[in-house]
Amino acid sequence: MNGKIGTTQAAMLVVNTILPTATVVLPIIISTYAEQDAPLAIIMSTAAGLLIAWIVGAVIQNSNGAPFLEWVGEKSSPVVAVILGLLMLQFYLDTTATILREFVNFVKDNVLINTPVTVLVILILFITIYMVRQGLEAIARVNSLVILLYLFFVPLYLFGLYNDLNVHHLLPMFDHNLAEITLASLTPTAWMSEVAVLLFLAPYLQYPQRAKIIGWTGLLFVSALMMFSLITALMVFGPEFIKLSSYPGFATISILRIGRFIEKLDILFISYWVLSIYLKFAIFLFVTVECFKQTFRVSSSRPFIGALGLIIALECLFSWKSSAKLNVYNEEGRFVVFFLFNVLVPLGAVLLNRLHKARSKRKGLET
Amino acid sequence: MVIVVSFTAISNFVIPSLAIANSIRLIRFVMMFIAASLGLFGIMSFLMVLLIHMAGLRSFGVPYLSPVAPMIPRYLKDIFIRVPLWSMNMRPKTNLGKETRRQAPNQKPQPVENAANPSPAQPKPQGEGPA
Repeated sequence: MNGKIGTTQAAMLVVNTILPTATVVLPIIISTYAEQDAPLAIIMSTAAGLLIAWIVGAVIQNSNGAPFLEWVGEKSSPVVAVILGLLMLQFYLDTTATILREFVNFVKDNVLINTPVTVLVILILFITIYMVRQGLEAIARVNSLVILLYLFFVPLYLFGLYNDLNVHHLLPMFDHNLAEITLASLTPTAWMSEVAVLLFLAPYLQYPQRAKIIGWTGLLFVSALMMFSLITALMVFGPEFIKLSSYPGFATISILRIGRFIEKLDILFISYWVLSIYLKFAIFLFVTVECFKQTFRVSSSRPFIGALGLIIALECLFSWKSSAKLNVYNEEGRFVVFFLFNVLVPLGAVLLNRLHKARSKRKGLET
Repeated sequence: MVIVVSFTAISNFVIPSLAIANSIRLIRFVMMFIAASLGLFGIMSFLMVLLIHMAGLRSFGVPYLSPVAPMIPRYLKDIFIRVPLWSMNMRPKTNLGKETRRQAPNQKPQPVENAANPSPAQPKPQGEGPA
């Protein structure tokens, strides 16, 4: 049931690939380094993200939507493709496990405080496996419905906070030097680089030649929403509180009220966030399965979805038991790993294609 | 509690079809059980299962949630708000038939004086008028 998806649907998938965990994890990390200059860090990371989207888009345009590892195998050798596939599979298994852990941690901290983590992991995993089995087309359709709900939630958020917004909390602007802002923008850049999932979604794109536009549109939307969320949180609480709060975005939502009759809307926003993180997890599980399929050249990946899900669940339960460890990885380790797999691998593929073209041109001239 | 129950009861009247109302009644029992055990998180999880199930369905090759998901704006004319029948000239694109036109263009009813002298663009009404 894996049909092709349109350009708008793919751009919306990019949005939910990045945004759900970014809104939860990033505000604290950015504010620690950049405080009230946090929007500048977002702008910087968006610029880097657009560049990454350009590289990823160039790879997809060159391969014309062919499966990424198959294309790499044709351009270099099958051995290189298998080794790269194994490394990328490890990367996607790790990333998907961290997403699941962030999801579970949030639910455990805010909603189901006494429920054991294992129960939550099993429940989430079963639902997500079902989503992946339904195919990318179904995921993209539900994703577009969930994105449409922003039309309801963004105005509600803005009007609810209208009386609490204090522009003076954003001052003094440009108080931090370039080094601090660059440091603050590294982790968001790692998140923006998740646009590289398009490499594995390329065979399902109706118009692979529009991959750059898909990436850019998705990233600009993410950037606008991140900026909106951060600026409002800063205007309400100021930079000092954001550094101390675990989930500043949701802390901002908890004070939201309209008139004297609509208040305590945080549970509404948490429900919406649950829907979007399900989609993020499903997209990453789909990409992991696709990476496995291309690496081991299996014709049908359906029997392996459950097995890969089990590995992810075990990694989530035992490798990422400590939230402190996960936070350190997010702050320090993630950028290096993501830069390697989401930037250097596509960049290597572009260079490989150029080399291949130059070699065949030279051969043509010799004959 | 009273407000939630009454809101649910009134919402039932939104569904005119008995067949779909019965299906929803059965789904509601599952939803109640999940809501009781897992709260709002359970409701959202089950909602996701329902959504993904419906998004994966096709009826005669047409996506079940079409034209909302996948979104086809020009076919939204009788989904949330129904536009006048005279402006729905084209059928939604499906694999069922080749005839994409529903009716002739310019079906908007005109005032009586215009109807007496129809413009050349308007089709002549058939089967009406004095014998």
